Amino acid sequence: MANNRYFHSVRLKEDQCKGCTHCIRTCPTEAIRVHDGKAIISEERCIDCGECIRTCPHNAKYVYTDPVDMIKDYRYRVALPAPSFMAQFDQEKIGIDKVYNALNLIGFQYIYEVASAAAIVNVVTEKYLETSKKPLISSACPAVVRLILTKFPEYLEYVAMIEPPMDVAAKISKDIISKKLGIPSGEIGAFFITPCPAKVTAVKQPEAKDSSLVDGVLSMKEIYDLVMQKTKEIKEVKHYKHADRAGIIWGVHEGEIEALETQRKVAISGIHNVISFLENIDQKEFKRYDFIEAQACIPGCVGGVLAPTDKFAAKIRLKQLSDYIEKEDINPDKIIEEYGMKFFLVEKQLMPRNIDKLDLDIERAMEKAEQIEALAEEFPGIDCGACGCPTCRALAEDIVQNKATKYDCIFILREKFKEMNKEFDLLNKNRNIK
Amino acid sequence: MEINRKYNIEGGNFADAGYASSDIRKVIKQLGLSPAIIKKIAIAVYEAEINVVAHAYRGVMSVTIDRDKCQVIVDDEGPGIPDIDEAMKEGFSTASEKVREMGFGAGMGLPNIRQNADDLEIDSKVDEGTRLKITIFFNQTRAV
Repeated sequence: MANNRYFHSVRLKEDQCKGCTHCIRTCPTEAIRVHDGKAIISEERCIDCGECIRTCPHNAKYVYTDPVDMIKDYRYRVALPAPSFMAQFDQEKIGIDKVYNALNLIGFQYIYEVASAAAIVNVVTEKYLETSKKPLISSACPAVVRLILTKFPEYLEYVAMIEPPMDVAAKISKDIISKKLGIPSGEIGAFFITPCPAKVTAVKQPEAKDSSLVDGVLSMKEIYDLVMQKTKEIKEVKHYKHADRAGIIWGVHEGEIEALETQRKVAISGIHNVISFLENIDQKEFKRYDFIEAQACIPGCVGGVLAPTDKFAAKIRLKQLSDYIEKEDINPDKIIEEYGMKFFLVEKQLMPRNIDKLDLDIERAMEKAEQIEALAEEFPGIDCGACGCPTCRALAEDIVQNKATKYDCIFILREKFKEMNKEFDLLNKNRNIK
Repeated sequence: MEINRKYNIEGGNFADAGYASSDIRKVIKQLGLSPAIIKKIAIAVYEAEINVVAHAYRGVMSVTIDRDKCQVIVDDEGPGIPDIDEAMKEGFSTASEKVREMGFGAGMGLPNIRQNADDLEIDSKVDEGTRLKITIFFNQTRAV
């Protein structure tokens, strides 16, 4: 815990945690335990999906995002709004152009829509699919990538080694500005407006590459509030051109696969649905697909825990957005040709973390597996959570790993008390005889 | 040290098929085996399980894991395989129309098992049943 091997954006406000155990059961990687009345998040297991933030009735979990003030550290500032950000505003009331004017007022000189990069990534994916292993599992959702790293290492080889739209947006926008304005890339700050904690982690501790060109990750809720304040100051709206539907639609479930030519594609949203898909799909069914979109949130990124407005309303707004906006004229094929395919790919391997491994030594791991099996039989199997573990089985695992004891189970403890009571009675009886 | 697991498999019960293989997958992940080995075992065990569901009346799958290998023995009561060589050919299947409609019985079961197993023994008596013995070694250099 102390050496912090992993960066995490999902964090606990300890004084607000009541130790209620709601979160331990919804955590998809069983990363949380309640100990001494407080939640503890395991840094090895947490994938920063944000499920616990959604569940916590006491707002004791929060997302670390960068302070908006940090943009001042850069001479030239680029906002990278996620497609889901574009879905937060009712076009009848506040048009997206007005929102972008507000972003200008907040301090961003340039706005590069991540949707625009997404439209390019769509074409990159088409090209990548020509030679890649199939099915290709999308790498756009960092929580899903980390789920596969930790719980499904056997699916790692299918994960697309393609830069997600957020990173592509940072790369291209910095390149455009340094070329156009002659500003060195180091003086340009690119700031992603995020709907979720997973993207923060993806920037602070990226997988399959050393660093991200995104300089800061800002909370969509915070930016939303700032935009709402600033729009009041806007008298005349400056107009922008926007990404087309193929990119914008990435913010919702089935958006990523919409423009892909293949019909052998499937989209899954919701981290627990992704788990059940990967756990239950058989090889034949799996091989039937060319492309798998998998997103941790329902219904896609608009359902992220930092998205301020209702996710289903946002979904509809995003689908209708392209009717309201003027489209930019970009040719993804030309852009890909200009930069080369390598520009859009990550350079390193994904390294599995396999959190289920019980011991480095296989013999010891086997012993522990058998001990867990035997111990699990002793518990009632009702997964009440009173011990602070998500399931009776998880308690058995914790015991075998020396992180808990049998008497953390209140049912076992009650039996023990009964036994001790009997012994006390016997002692008393003995005394009476005397 | 050895880990032993036993699963009963019910012929025709496609809805619950996959339980044994998914449980085995959980067990082997605890041992920290490589993703490639996990995949080989998962596929071989799944195909063996589906074989029983699709073709036999009932069966028992016994899995033994030690530090070097995973051994799976599947004993089923069923029609048996009249011509094993034929059954090993890709695309050969005796599955009923009903089974095929459900997306099973494409004749890839045994070939898939052979592809992923390091050793495969098949014993079958027509009208009695079939015994499959699948061995997968953890040390990949021993794999064929």
